[in-house]
Amino acid sequence: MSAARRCALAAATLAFALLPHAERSAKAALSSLADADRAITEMDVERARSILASHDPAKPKVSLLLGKLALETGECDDAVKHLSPEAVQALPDAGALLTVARGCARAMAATIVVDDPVHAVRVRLQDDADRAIVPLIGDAIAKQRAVLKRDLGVDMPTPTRVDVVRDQFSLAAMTGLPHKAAQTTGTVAIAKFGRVIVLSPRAPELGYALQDTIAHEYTHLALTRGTLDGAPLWLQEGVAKREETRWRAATPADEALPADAIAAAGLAKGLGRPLDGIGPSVALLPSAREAMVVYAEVASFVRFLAGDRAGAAGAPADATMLPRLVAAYAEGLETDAALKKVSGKDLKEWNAIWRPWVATQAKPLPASVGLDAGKPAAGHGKEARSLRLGELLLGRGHAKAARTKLDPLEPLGLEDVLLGARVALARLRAGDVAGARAALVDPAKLLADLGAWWATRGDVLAASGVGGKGGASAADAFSAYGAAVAHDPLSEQAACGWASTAPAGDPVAAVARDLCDAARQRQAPPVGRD
Amino acid sequence: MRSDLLAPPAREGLGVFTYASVAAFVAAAHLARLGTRPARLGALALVLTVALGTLLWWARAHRRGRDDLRALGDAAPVLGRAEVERVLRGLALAERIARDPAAEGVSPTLARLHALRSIERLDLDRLAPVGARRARSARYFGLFALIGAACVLGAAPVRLAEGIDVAFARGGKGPFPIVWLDDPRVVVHPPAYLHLPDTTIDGYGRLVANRGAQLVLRGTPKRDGRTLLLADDFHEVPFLDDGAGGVVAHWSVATSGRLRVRARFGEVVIEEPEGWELKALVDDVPTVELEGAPKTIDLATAGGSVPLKYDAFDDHGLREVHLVVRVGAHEERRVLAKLDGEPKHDRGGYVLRTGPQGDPLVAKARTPIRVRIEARDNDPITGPKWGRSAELTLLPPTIGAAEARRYEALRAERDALVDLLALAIEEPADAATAVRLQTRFDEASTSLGDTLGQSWEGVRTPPRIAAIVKGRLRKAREAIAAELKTPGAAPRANTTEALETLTMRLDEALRALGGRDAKGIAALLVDVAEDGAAAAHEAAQGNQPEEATLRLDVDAKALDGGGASMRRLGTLGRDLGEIVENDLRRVARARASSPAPSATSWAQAELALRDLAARMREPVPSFGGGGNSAGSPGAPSEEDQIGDESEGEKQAGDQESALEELAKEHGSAVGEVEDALRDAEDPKSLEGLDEEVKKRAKALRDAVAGLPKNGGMQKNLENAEASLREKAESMAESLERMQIGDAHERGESALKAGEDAKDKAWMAPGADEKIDDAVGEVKKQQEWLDGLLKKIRERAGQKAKEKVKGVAPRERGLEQKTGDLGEQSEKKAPMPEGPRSLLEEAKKKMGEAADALEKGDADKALEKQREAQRLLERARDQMKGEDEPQRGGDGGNRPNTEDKLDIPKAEDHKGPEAFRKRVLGGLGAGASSPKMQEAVKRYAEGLVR
Repeated sequence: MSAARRCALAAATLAFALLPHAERSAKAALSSLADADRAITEMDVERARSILASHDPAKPKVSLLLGKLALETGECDDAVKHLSPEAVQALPDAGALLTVARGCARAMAATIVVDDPVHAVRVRLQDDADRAIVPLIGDAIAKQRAVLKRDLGVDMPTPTRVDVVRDQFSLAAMTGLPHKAAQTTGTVAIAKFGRVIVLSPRAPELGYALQDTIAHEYTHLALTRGTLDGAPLWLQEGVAKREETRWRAATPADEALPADAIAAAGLAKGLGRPLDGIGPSVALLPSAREAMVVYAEVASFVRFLAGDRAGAAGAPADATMLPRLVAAYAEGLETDAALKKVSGKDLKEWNAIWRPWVATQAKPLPASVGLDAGKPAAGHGKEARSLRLGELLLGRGHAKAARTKLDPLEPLGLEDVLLGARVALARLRAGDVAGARAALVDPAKLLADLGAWWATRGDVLAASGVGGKGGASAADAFSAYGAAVAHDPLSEQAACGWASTAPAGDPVAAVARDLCDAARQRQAPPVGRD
Repeated sequence: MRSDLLAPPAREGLGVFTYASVAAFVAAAHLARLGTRPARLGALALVLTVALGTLLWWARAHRRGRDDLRALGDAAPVLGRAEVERVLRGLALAERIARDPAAEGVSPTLARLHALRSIERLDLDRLAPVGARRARSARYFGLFALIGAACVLGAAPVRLAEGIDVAFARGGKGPFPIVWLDDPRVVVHPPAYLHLPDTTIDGYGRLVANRGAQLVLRGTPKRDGRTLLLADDFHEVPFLDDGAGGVVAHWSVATSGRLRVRARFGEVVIEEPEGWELKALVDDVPTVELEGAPKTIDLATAGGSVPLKYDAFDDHGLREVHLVVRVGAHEERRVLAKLDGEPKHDRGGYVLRTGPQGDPLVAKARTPIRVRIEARDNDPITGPKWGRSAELTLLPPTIGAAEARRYEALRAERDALVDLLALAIEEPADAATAVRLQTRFDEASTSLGDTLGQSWEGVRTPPRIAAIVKGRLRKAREAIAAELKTPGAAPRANTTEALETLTMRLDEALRALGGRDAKGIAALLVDVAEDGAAAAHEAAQGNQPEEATLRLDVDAKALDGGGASMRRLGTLGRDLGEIVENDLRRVARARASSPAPSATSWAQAELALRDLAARMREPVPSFGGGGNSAGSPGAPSEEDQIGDESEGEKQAGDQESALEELAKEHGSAVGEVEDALRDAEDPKSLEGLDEEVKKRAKALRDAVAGLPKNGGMQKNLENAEASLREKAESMAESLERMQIGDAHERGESALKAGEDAKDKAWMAPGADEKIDDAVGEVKKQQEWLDGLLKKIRERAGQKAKEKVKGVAPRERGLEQKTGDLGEQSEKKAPMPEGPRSLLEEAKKKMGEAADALEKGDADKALEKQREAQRLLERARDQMKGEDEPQRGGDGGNRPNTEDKLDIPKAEDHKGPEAFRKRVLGGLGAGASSPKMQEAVKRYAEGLVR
């Protein structure tokens, strides 16, 4: 046999021997990439990173996953680099990811990152003036982490990443949600890419419940991790609504407008949607009204399912339903199969039980909810004019004159807490502390929480004097200001009131002082001075 | 035996191959000299073939010498085949028996003996002559080849060297240089535009020439038949026969490099050992120095102008100097100097007027203005090059500062009204308080009036806001006056209500205005942020980092100022202003991220600025949408939408539209009466008028016949006389056509021309009389025309009597409509005093016109209608703020962004007749009194008839 023939034979043998191995390698590589993708979904950054480190980053699929991972860790410049190549862009979803990566790189350029090692939270602030709210975020995240472990059986990795953006424009850029949609539905936060992206409380004029919102979005992340992104939207939103307040003690306002009643009213008016037909996101619904009904609908259903309505006709009593359902999704089961596995009934069957029950929960709702026809909500027409005139007079120090405009609005304060707050403020400034207290309804009857209301209550309680005639204590005022901060952390009235009433040595005193300083730096005009 | 057989041919053969090899080498060198790839490969093949052939032959001969049997076989043709075969058989047998003695039954000795005897029987002597013959042939062949090679070599020995050089070429270039030219000489011709003399260089060495210069290289070729070239590393040009035994090559200087002479052989060149080091002098870009630049100048302290002094230099000559002014993305160039390309230096200056009446671009600019000087040279070789100076940055007043001051001024007025309202609410409803209210109201009203008329660097209160506030002021004044008359609770309630509404309207308008202003400032900041981002990008790229840094600093300052202004503008402004402030902190953080900003930190700064620009493009509140703010997190929440206009402004806008519509409708009614009268005017109905006008036209023509026809180019007496003649003849022509009104108008023009001519009559003796005659005739005809027109109109009035009666109901309806408009406005959005009284007056005139129309008095009706129309239009204009005296500040001529330009819609096109009416109406409206307007109108009728 000639040397050439021997050589050819050897090559053929080698190729023959290598072929199956190459196939095996390719399969192994694909499986490994799927593992990396799963690790990203599970927010297991280190595992995803170590898997991807063994792959050629020049390969489009690897580069795509590296881009996703970079988005997960907030390294948006890197994400842009990984997602930009043409070959990567040819892959499904790469275009949308690149748009988000670019938006994120732009919005987060030269921002600051604050680590809260105590609560294992890493907060990136688009506006460094928001630094003072980081302890509030850390507190809510740490408490909610324990709640999620308990209620859903999901152990969240640390550190938890939170991005605080200055406006809905940046929120849209960082998440891919159309800006218009965010404006339409009043979106304040989104959980995506393993992070909570939340609006700065300075964006809405009257603030918003920052900590509850963080808890809500954090629950979305937990569900994504726990179900391997298999949870349908109704479960995501319903569970998040249920869990958003469980990190803290319940307040009367939490149940003042029951989701069941809103869902009943909304469904009766045809504003609801089938549970499995909500669409890609509540934030993309056509109106805030529909979004409210859909939120109420899914919240009511999930509470029904989770055992919160035990005793009602057909309602389950098993408190472990939710963690078991999450685990079922993690096995890759579809909704009906997962529900059947954990409860013996599929979605249609549960719907058939819940719908008639929720219809029985209908009750009159305040006009301010916007679901009842008839009398328009306060804030329109004559009332709005009186409110504004009252504010202007207050702003110029004419409290007596302001009362002539605001006192007649007192009855409306039951429904519109802002009106109530302004009436009380006018009375307080006019020296009528008792009248001011009377204008503020009993917190137990409060229909909704508003920072301005709680801050005014704090002012009124503080003015009542410790052990005074009104019987208010410094602790009451401190508590009221605390509630105000929870709903409008950067309101000077709330934050500085909280700081001034914080007991010496209380750990929150420092937090309150920082919030007060930040609020003062905003130089927001007082009531009626804008 | 072997040596006997083989030695002679081998020795001879080696000699032959040696000769052949020499010849083949020479041939191969010549083949390689062709320079093509196949030729060079062929040469290599030839040399290898001969060498290998020699080796093979030698090896074969050597192997054959060791193989007896084969040697014997080879000799068979000479020794005889039968004999040789016999010997071979004997040898084979002896060998076989030697290996196996028992095989054939013969002893090995005997077999060997037999073989030896067979060999001895061969006649080996026969081999010698054959070998000798062959050796001789080989010797002759070898010698012949050697001689051939020697001849070729002797004839052109360099060819062998060239061939070898080419054969061993690497990268298309032979390794051994060869001299090709004798006495090389280079003449340098600089480009014509430089006007420099030629220079000559003998031999090789260093050459310095301007870019675009022509090099002429001459020399004598050492050998003929070579393709000689002049080349650098990129180009080559051929040498051409100069007709005098030499060669010449022309070379255009473009870049520096090494010039060599080379000879080309196919794909290979062989260069000379020496060459020229050419240095091409580049025509430099002009340098421009702008005095003081780079520098930032605050326009507020610039004193109305910025003097620009520049010096432009070029190494060869300048063609043009421009002033370049850049505002945002807009760039404007102005020629400062046009030169003939000769001067190498130009010094000049320009005063850039920066005041409100100054340079329009600068006056309009709200963002930093970059000013630089650019100079162009005269380089025709590579094309003209622009050199630019460093920039002066002119900072206009802080972006939005004027709007912010306006906002604050209006807010202060609102606050004063709130204080007044508090007084009305808190104090008892008695006479003393009423007096105090009156006094305080008068103060507040005066202050508010002043503020509404004030200008802040050209920024004024939008007319609609002024209109609604003035309207409400009037109502409040009326209420207070009523209370003063009869103090009491009910009048006080009215006063309070009026003050509340006034305060609310101003507050609403103020908030809407703040939102609009914030959006307007945001739009301006977009350009500044983009410019800053571009500067950061330049810095990241390492392009002129100092300039980019300066530019970015200026942009950051402008952004900061704009952001600060926005923060003074209410809710939206404060929101957007905070964003600007934060984004500038991000930029500063990026730049301060390391001791010296790196490319990465510049890139971060750029991204932050792009983010700011993108955000300012969408100047909406940071949070929007939703309802139920007190509801649950993540759920929708309430947000006040900041509208573009307040409710009051919308109502004022509706009133403007209604007034506009009413004026248009009434104008149409006026046109109807005018048309009726015009149709009724028929001069031909007057008996004998036809002949009369002809006679009078002739008289006119005769009176001016002595005046010159053409006045020439200069404005002298002759010109004035010609003008008088032309106008009088034109009057005559109208007369002949029976266009009486037209003739009258032209007569007026002729009289005016006559006055002008009389002023110049002193220039020529006797001219006075000639002109007086002509003017006298014109006057005579004018008087006659006045009477005639009166007569015609009276007749027309009678004739149109019935027709105009039909217009009466329409005029009455319009009167009613005007009244309704006034009443409605009083209820919803009271008009200011001016438009309201004008409207009332217009209504009255309409009523009088309707009365006259009902009586068929067309002339009177038309007069009243026209007065009403002018009043309506003035009311409309006052509502739009177009008829207001301007007060305060700088008297600013800056266009107010609130001003709206009326663009006629398609349905507004009414043709020439409508145009005529508009001109007549418009000119008439300019006069202060309705009566005076009639004279203006007559003049205008002459223009547009």
